[in-house]
Amino acid sequence: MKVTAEAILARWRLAAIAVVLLAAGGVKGLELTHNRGYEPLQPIAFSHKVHAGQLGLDCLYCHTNAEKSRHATVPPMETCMGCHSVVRTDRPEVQKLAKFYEDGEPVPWVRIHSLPDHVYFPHSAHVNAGVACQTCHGPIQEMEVVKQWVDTSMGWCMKCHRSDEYLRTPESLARAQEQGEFAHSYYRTGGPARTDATALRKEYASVKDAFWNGEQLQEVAETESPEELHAAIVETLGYDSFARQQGDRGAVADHVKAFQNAPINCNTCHY
Amino acid sequence: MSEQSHRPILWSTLEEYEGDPEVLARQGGGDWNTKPRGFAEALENLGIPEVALRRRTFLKMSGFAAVLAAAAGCEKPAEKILPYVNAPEEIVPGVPNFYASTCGGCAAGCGLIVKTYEARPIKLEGNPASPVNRGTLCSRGQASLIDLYDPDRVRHPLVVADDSTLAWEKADAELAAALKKAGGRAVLLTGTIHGPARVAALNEFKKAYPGLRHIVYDAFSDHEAADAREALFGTRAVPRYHFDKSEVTVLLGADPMAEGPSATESMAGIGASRKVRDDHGRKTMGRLIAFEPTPTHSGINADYRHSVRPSDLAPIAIAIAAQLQKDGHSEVPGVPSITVNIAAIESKAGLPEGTIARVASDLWAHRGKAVVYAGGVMGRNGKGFELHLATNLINAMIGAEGTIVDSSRPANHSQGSAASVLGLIDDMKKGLVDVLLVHGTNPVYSLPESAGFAEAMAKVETRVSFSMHKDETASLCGRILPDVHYLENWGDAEPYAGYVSLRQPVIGKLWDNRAFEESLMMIARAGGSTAFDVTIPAAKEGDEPTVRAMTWHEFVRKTWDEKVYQSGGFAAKSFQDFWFEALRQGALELPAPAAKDTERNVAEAATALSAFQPAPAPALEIAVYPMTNTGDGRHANNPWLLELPDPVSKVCWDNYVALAPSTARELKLKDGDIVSLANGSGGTIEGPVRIQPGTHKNVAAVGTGWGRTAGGAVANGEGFNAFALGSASGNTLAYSGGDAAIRKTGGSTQLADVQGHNFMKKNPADENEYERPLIQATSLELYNKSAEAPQAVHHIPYWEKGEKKPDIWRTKDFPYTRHKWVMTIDLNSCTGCNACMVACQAENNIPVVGKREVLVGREMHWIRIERYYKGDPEDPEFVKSPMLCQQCDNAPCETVCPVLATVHSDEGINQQIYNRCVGTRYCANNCPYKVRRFNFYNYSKFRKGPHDELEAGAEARIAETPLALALNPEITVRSKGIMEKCNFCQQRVRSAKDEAKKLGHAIPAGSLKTACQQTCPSQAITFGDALDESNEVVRIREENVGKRGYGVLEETNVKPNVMYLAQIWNRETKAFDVDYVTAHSHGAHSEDHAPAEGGHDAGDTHPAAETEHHSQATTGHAGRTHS
Repeated sequence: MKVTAEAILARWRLAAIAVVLLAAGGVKGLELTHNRGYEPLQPIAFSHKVHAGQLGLDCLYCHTNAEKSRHATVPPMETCMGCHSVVRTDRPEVQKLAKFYEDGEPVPWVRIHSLPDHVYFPHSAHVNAGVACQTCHGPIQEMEVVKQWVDTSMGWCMKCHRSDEYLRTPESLARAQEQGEFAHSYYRTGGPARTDATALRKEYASVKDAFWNGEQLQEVAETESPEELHAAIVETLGYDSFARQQGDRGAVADHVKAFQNAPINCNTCHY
Repeated sequence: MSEQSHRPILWSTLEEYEGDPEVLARQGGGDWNTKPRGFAEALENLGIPEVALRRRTFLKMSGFAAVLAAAAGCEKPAEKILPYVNAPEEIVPGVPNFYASTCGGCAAGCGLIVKTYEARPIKLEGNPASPVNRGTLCSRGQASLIDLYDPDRVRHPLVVADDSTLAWEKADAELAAALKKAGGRAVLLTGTIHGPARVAALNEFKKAYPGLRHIVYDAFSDHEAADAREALFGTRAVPRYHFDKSEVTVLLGADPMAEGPSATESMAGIGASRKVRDDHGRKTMGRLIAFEPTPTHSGINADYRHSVRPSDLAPIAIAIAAQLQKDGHSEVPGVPSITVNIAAIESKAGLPEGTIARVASDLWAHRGKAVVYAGGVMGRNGKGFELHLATNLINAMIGAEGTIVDSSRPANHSQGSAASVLGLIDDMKKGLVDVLLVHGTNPVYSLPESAGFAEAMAKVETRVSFSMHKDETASLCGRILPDVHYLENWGDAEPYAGYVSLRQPVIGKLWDNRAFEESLMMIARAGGSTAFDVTIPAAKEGDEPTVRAMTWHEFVRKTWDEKVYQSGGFAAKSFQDFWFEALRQGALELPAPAAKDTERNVAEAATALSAFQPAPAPALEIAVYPMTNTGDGRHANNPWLLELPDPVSKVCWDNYVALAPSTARELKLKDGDIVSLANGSGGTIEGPVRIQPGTHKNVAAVGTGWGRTAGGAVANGEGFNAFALGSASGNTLAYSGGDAAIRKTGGSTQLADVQGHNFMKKNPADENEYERPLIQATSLELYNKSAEAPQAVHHIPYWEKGEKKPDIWRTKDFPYTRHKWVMTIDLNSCTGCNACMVACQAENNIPVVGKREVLVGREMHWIRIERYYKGDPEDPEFVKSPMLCQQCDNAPCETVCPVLATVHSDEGINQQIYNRCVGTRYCANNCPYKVRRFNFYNYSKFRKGPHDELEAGAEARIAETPLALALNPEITVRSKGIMEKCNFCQQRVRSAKDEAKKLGHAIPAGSLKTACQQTCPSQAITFGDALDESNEVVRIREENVGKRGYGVLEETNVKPNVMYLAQIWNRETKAFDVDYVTAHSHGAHSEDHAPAEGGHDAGDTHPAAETEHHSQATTGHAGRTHS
């Protein structure tokens, strides 16, 4: 059989079209798969810009588990209500929140970052190693509506994990510590960071600034050492931690009851 | 060469032993050699042709699929995040919580540590604080986790007739009225119940209804042992056996590892006694001797195993006692002569002459450190009492009483008796029972039909069951007030007097069930009892105080305050402190109860034994034995246990009639032929034949726990009910013995025998390959002569320091600097119990594939226990060897993966990356250990395999059931087309590393355990970091390298990272200990291999064997270089 030039050309043309289509589909597909820029509408117009940016709330105030667990976790609604039972109760979005809370219904937040099942990504390892939240989540304190900042592909992970700078050795850990990169690790790690009174006080102070506008706690902020600070908080709150250690849950219950109306909750202190 | 010389010494199946060409062809490789025997037939049963999809069709379809996928776009579906409204105090999502509790899988009362994620239990582990199981757990305990999520559980109180829902209050009130009316004609029938609070609740209930009789019935019970001890010592207490202190243990038809009553403890004890120890420079270990009708889980571990008929057991025990007495060997005075003919008993039992004398002198030589243990269902042939009387007499004579046999803490875990349940049947038949309450026992299933429980029960007016399932007994009741699963419940246990253990709920109740104890409390209250009232003082003065019902939790707390805290010497702490500490710790040891004066009625016992009339020995006797996985059938709806191969036969998804090879030949039966077996007193079963090497030639052995008719969707229709072979006469129940008749029915089935799968051996017919046996084993005598004796066969010292072997990687450039994970497995300790397999299944989300998939070799277990036979099929020796991914340094799988789905980590783990895997299966073909598992279907979706779904519909899908809650969130659930295998519990390594990093120190030695290691009752597995000297594994490797330590197939230079410690037998040296490939020897290296006969002088043979190995290794090497 004689193969004509046209036939060959036709065949190649078809192949070329297929390749182009597949490549286009692939690129598009990959981009979508990695979901960069995903910015879904949330059931409540929660603004990270207001909370993390303007108010300067620490990320770990709400995402308490980021340093303990592989999941950063969305806060339980009691965390929101800790403030919003008294703060800005006139806003429609806050009222929406209060309605959910009263009904005992969780807010159905739309998940933005979702890694495949086979990926083991522990938030705690990264947070404790001093990686800033913004490294992966972008300038979250400026986002009115949160969107996915990076493509969360494996290649993206490798950008850091190939470079020495981010692979924490004991030396680099020490360096990070010096530079004050340890935002929150000292609660759990023990280690030298615990003695960093300045950082600890700064932490408590920021919590105070944001939430404890109540007069009863004014003097707490003025104490000096972290130990004194903690003792003052405990004393002011009237909470006998020793009772809890003894396993008497009654004391905890009393404590919670006494401060039911105060704009605080357990997570305020106990991350 | 004669045909006989082709017989291999180490063999896995009879087909292999006999040289079945189909099997040999598969061993030769070439084909995908995980295909088992009968593959084509099994595939036909699946209804799919062997090649369902031609390559071209596949390419066309996959092209189409790619286009579709591109066209459909790749946007993810929107997922929701639902936060807690009020966060529970203890829960951090993604971080597991651990709670101490008590296992309810059987009555042994083992302590548990339950791992929960977000308040759902996903893994059970033993509690190290428990004096019973000391941190380990058996296969049934491990698997009892998914009984919790069993979708077939009864979900609300119901009227059985129409399945309609019943209100709890109404049910309680009606039942209370019925009980009041019945008075002394009411019966509460339960399984064994122990634990301070559980017993107290029961007693209060009995007080509320005076006259109510409480009858305890367990399918397996020790009542004959208790009777015998009462006759001998004056107390009924069943003692505790410290097998770990025993140097000579003789089992008489008993299987303490499978039947219990405290299986985990027995495995730990016997396992510990068999560890090789150093005694002033001499190696020593315990010896295990078993007399049994068919190989049992315990028996396959024995140094000396004697196959005998069930009817021989009691005479053998009596003969041993008589021999001891005759030789004047007794620690207790006044044992009169026992007049039996020892030689006649030996010859009738088919034992070699002098066996009894040898066993007796062995026991006496180790007096105070030796024990005889008898019992179980197999010994229950109507002469169980005499068997126990004789063994207890022997134990007294050899000084085991008070040392190994410890009656200072009597056992509580087996309180049932046959006499009382048979008495109950009589009463029911006579119409003397008006109300019958049943809990924790299933007599309609576990009593033979001839006992007539079901008919008698029909005469009872009010029948109420507290069962979790609508089981055989519950479905004949009027109502079911369903109990909760033990993981949902409060409670306690007291397996031995003074060993108390708490149970706490680790999950909320899944359905509208109520704890049995709480039911008792509520029914008692409905009948007017005030024992369970809580009075709340009035808020204001003058108001009436209010009264409410006590919860079961409050009652447990109250009882522990009164019975444990106040009497246990804990007064230094407040009760509050004590309670939280007890909850945290799980198990407590209270002072032992005051010892009772024991009589020694040895003279009467000996006289009674002299008068013993042995049962006649028919041509075929039945031996009923409890199967390790299914036990008394209560776990029959557990797919993990049904797919778990039996430790002896390696058959899963079935029980069978085990026959000796010679008997099967005589009767012209082959594996899988359906036979009908009758016991001569009305009991008949129909089931497949399994030719089981090691079974006595006059015995047909059947295992219990199968053949449920109302066990649930998984259990129903699997196997047959061996309890049908029991017979009741007078007030005894006999299961074994009897003049059995066996008849071929003409039908046949395939048995799913996994030992025929995953052949690791090379083709024995290939003359160019030298062959090193897969398992190394030797005798203690040889090992004492030379520490290298276990290596005597083709010594390849891979682990020796400084040894240079070719490496396929640039190892020098990439040394292991942080961790190097390695494992050692001690074959002497491994009992073959399979607990590791279930632990691995739970930990790693390993799916169940169903019988039909197992038949085509597609079982998914990442770790398997291989069982090999050695020697003659009529009386073989058994070797067990756990096989899992060996994490080879030179991993053959890694080099053939086209997509880098399997690669080596910098910590020495051979990783499997699921999302890269495209399912070529090259790796599985290239794996010399056959440990890689392929998902031919979406197995993880189905309860009982993909084929069952077609028949059973959606209920067979896990996603439709709570079973999905049992999945470990740390592990990917694999889908169709993916290869998987053991990764040394990567997730555990990961979390240990993360934790250590967070705390800024190294991983503490011993804190990181793989799932298999953690659960191993006999502690055969050790895992750790070879670079960290503080790890136990480093010590074991160093001590054993070049001695007991060997790698399976290490001669292939794949550099496995699992070191096996060779099996050492504490028996006389046998020919194959010296070199058991003799019969395999080919050409050049056969001349020096004449097997030594009779008593050997290993000192002579060993050096010769060693020199010869060197030459042989060289030959092998040269051969390979040339090819």
